Amino acid sequence: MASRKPNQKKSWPSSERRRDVMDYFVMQQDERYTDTPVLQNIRQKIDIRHMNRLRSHQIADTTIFQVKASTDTEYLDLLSNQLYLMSEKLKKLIAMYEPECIFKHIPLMDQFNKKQSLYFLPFFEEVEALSPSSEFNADRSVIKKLVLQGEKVAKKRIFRVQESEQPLIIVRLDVAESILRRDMIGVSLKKVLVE
Amino acid sequence: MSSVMSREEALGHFLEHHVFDRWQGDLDIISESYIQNQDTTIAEFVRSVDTACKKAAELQEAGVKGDIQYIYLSLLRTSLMEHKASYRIDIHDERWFLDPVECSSHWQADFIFDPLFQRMRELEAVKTSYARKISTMDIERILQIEAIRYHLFTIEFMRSMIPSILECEGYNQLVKKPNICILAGEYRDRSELLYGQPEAEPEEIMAEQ
Repeated sequence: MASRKPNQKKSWPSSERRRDVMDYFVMQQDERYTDTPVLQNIRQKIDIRHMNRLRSHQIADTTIFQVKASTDTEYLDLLSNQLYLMSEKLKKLIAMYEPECIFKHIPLMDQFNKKQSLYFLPFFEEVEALSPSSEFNADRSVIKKLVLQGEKVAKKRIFRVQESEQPLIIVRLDVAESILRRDMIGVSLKKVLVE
Repeated sequence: MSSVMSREEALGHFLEHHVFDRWQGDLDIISESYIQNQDTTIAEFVRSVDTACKKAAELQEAGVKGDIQYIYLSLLRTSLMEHKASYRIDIHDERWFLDPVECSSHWQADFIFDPLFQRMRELEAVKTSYARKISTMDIERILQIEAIRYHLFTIEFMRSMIPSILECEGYNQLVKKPNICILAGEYRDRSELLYGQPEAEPEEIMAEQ
């Protein structure tokens, strides 16, 4: 604590700009939960070519998925390992911040345990937000180091990074705080570098 | 704990025996640490508010910020995830959250939250006796729930700091609305008024109802 004091004082003018860019977070499923429902036959049911905002009308409003699950399987508020799905509780919160967001109904059916849970597939605004300092792997399919451009994301509350093949959803500080206040299960929020 | 316990039972037992009411013991630790470091603690807090105010005054001089009406002190739960108790101090003109010019500084309420973080670290050791029924993720959720008490202590500390805020240099440099308010709460959410008058006159409030 003592070492931070002089440093903070000295660095104030230069950190001014950075401080005033609001913090952003990657929102995804908390990987530490290992027993989550596994969706069956995704490719047969949803055409992934339509998995973007402009083509979302091609996807049915409701698509039922069978899932593999045990009695202890946890139905997290965010499932993002296969499709990017939100629970009703999380969807309601997101819709408050982003009323324009398009959602499709995705009921998950566990026939073995006779359990059904309603999830939502969101289609967020896509933003070309990556900074040139971001790093990709060799064929540019994976982002190894994520850096956002402050100018591109300013004032955006929730968006999808256009350059990423996999859904990469970013939320602003106010949305992240709101999620943490509501005791959501399995939502991981990791801070992103913004330039 | 016995492995025949269900997860819910285990969690209930864990909360009852290791979490509930434990915050009371932290009160002494907090007040002792405050007494020992009173001057530094106060100085650091006032300096953070002062920094934000001075920045706002500069923005006013540059003509991009209007007369200041709100000073908002808010807890950042995203910082709690990293075991830091960061409060954000935002200065807004009459447009409040719609004020497009961000102006903020940060202050760490470590002396209040450190005992909570310490307790959560101890729970990590305790959870091993629950046969993997209690996870680190559970403890992280408990932290966010327990944080509210420490946040309330912090608000009381901030309330006691009002006279020092009103005297600081930055605050006095600000061009202010006559009904300037100082509020404390969660980020862009529910807040408590620490100083000043709410914006509407009583007649106006009546008329709206």
